[in-house]
Amino acid sequence: MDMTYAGAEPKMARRKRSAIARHAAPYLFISPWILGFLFFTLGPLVFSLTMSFYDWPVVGERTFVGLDNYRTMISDDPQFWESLWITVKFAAIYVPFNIVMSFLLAMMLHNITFASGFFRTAFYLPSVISGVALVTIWSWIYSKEYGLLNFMLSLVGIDGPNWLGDPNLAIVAIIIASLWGLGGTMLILLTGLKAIPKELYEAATVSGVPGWAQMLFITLPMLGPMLLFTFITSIISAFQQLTIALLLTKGGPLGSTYFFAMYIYDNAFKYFDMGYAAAGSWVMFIIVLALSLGVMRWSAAWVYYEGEVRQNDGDGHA
Amino acid sequence: MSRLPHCSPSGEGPLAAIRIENLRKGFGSLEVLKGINLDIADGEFVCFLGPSGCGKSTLLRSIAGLEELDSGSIHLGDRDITDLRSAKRDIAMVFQNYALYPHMNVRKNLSFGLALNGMKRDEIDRRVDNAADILRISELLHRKPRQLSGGQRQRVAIGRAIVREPKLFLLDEPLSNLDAGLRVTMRVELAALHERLGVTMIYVTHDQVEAMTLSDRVVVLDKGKVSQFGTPLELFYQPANLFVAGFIGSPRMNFVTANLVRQDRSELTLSGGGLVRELSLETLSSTVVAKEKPVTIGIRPDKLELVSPEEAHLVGDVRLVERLGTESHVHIALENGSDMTAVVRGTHPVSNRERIHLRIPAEHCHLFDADGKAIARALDPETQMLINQEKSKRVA
Repeated sequence: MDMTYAGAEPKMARRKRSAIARHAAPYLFISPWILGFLFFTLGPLVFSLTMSFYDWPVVGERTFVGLDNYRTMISDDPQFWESLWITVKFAAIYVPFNIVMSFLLAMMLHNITFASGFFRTAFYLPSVISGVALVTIWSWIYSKEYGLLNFMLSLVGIDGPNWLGDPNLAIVAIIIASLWGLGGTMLILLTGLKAIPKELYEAATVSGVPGWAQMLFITLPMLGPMLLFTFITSIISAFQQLTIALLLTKGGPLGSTYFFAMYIYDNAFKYFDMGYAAAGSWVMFIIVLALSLGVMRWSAAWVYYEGEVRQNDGDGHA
Repeated sequence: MSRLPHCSPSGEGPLAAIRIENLRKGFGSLEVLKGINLDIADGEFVCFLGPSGCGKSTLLRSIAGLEELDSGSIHLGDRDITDLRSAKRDIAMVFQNYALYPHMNVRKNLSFGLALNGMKRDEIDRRVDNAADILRISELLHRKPRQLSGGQRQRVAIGRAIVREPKLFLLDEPLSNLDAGLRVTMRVELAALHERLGVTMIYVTHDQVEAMTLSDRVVVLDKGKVSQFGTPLELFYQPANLFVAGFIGSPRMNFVTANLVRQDRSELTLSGGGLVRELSLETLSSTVVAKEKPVTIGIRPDKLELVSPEEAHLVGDVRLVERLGTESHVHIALENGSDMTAVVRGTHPVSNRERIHLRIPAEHCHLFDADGKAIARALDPETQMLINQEKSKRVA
């Protein structure tokens, strides 16, 4: 028997249309974000990768050079290695200091009962100040003749050095200025501290576990995921260091604060060699990615996640 | 292992008796403990029972050294431990939410405190294996707490207390996070554990069934004060005041206010208030009741009798019948506006909105003066014998 009848075709078409609309609706709702991601993240990413294989002047003909930009950078450009070394030195000091100081401040704020809200705000505030304003403040603090730092040193009889003019001290000055914005890290760790049940400490206290051991064997392991997160974000921000160095020392004196990000910036906007700068950016991305993956892998030994069950933990849930 | 070393009978006096004298503790302007005095014997299982906010956990934490006292003293055996640090008090505590270290496996959880106190590896292993054996968690030693069920976590928490071989166990609502079935199982296991270890245990709970079934004696706390300290049967049959009478027993005791009509030596005659007929009852001969003040009659729901109108002391209308199978709970609104509950056999033909007549058997009445204090009455010989047996068992 023929099952078709008048009106069946349009009804099926309507159903099909409504099914498409049903499936498309969620994508339409997130389309502003998708468009933003395509044009401002994925697009530039792919574009910069393409650029890195070209000799790409801002004005003039672009030429495909394959891996030449990478090869030149690694084998024929001493500035690449120098700036990378300065960045690694900076990261090696900045990252541990950032985490340790944030942790100590968070511990202090966690334990004080008097005016804790005020101190929390006071320590967090610098991290939301814009980079340019921050540099303006610090250039005044570091000024040899009129600086606050040297004035305070003079009060205890010390003749303050030229912080931004001494090649050995300039990087220290930048590390200190960078640490001024540790409020964000501190807040993450403070939140982590507040989430640790106080009964764990009480149980340890009743069992005679001394305070230092409670910090070492309870606080730090319980903060593991937060410490890992701040560790990785600190590494990333250390490698991206540009604003403070660019405005405070302009890479000097004698290139002592010429960070890797500044090297990329100069290639792009000073020498207008976009292909070379793009290759530099991808090298930075690969280094940061490798470091992050290394840290993640290493973290398996010391970071504990409540929801995670590892193979060696046991034979499953009870 | 049968008993912990501290508890072996030495004949040299109470090793783990607790004496608390005039203990006071407040938080800011809020006074939580208002002069607590208690004597707990060595090896006794004592429950702190009371409603939320009565101060039972604060009292336990004060004994543990986790709260600083405002005044008063605590003695454990012959030692004044009032100002001693927790770790030096020779106690172990089990917390309501277990407080297991989530990043350590069970073995590490049990041994953590011991290892940091410089105990030798062999001794730690002996104690951990021993505790695991007692609590039947040997096969779980390599697991993390998240891989354990609620009951297993509870066992590990108790195990952490056992390995310390303390003089005193403090347990803060240890079963409250478990489901009803598991709670019953763990209750039995705890009782067996106490029997096996023979150590003094103090147990905080707001669940009267736990308190009544586990304890040698129960401390009933009300608004930071000890309302009564006695054996479970004492609390049930001889409540010292209206609070204890109302708190112990489920469904709770019914209360009816009445006036004293006359006192003839030990016989009181009451009427008025909620009574529709005079009620005569015996008190101890020495009791004198003020005539001008009202008294409160207390009667357990299962002791109320459904009778004919001419025998009734109380009249009311049935509001709700809860049929539980073997028994039914009948909620009644009395003529004077107060509420009452009667427990009748499960098949009793009573229905909603029915007029109901109740008799108060004088021999099962409790009597309270205008200040809420119990007026002493003699118990029936059988109950009195049971209470005496319970007391003598405790002394033994």
